[in-house]
Amino acid sequence: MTTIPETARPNAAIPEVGTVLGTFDAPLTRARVWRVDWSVGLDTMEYQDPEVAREAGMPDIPVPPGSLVFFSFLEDMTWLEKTGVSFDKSLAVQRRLEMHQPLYVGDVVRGAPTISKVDVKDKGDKSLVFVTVTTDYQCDGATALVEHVTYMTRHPKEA
Amino acid sequence: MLQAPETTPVGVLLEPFKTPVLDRVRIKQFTEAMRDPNPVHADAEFCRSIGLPDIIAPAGMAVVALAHSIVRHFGFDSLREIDVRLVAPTFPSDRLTCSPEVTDVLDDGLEITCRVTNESGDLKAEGRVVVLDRRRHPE
Repeated sequence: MTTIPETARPNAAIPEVGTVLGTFDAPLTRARVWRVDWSVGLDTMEYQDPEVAREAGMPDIPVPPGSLVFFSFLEDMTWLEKTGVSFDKSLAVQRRLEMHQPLYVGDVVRGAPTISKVDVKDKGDKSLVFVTVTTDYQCDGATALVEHVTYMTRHPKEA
Repeated sequence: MLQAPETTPVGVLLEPFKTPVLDRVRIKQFTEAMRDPNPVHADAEFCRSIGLPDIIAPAGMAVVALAHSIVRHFGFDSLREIDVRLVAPTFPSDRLTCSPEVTDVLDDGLEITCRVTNESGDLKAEGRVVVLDRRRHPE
């Protein structure tokens, strides 16, 4: 796998490391947590009942780890163009999460997802472009979570 | 929360977590909660146009299930790091099983690897998770 130097981009389709995809301040809502909880079948009452969560020493229902993803909070879809991700040619291939402090319903998270890495791998008649978006979720002025999502996009090679 | 094993040497298998069948209703609920705009989670016709047999579940469903398979043993605030490789799409009617195994004892916690498979045994995702072991490091 080759990391593209910042100064030697082969064409305009390759996203730019350091590009900020947008910014957000977003409340984490009970409705969101309940839908995630139900859809995946989480079997812990702390996710469902605020009283159970409080009895366990938490301020409210915890946000299930893995249930935050940067694009949920962006107001527009320009992140697609900036990352080169397209629904017919791209797949999410990796997610890495660094937990610093738990998040709960009612918390407000602030973030500015940014393209942190771009790699290109030649694969026969096409190139595979791997774009990683990193989001530092701040809550009450401190990092609560750092999320890295890597997308793979297929590009046909130019003749 | 389940009781974690009294001792956690390398090789200990933790009780697996099984999701319900991830049908279209559950996929729709998750997709809407995540505000995921990708039509591969909702539009079967679009999926067929790009070579997929049906809609696929958002990758986040496997990630949340994998994380939960660890949290239910060690506590919600035990997680330090999750690194998930998304191997294959999850389709409606798949039911995921997350099977965690302790693979290393670290200075302040444990390394756990977890495979996520469907009922046919097809690997959908696999992850490496680092948790704080509170029995050795109480508050």
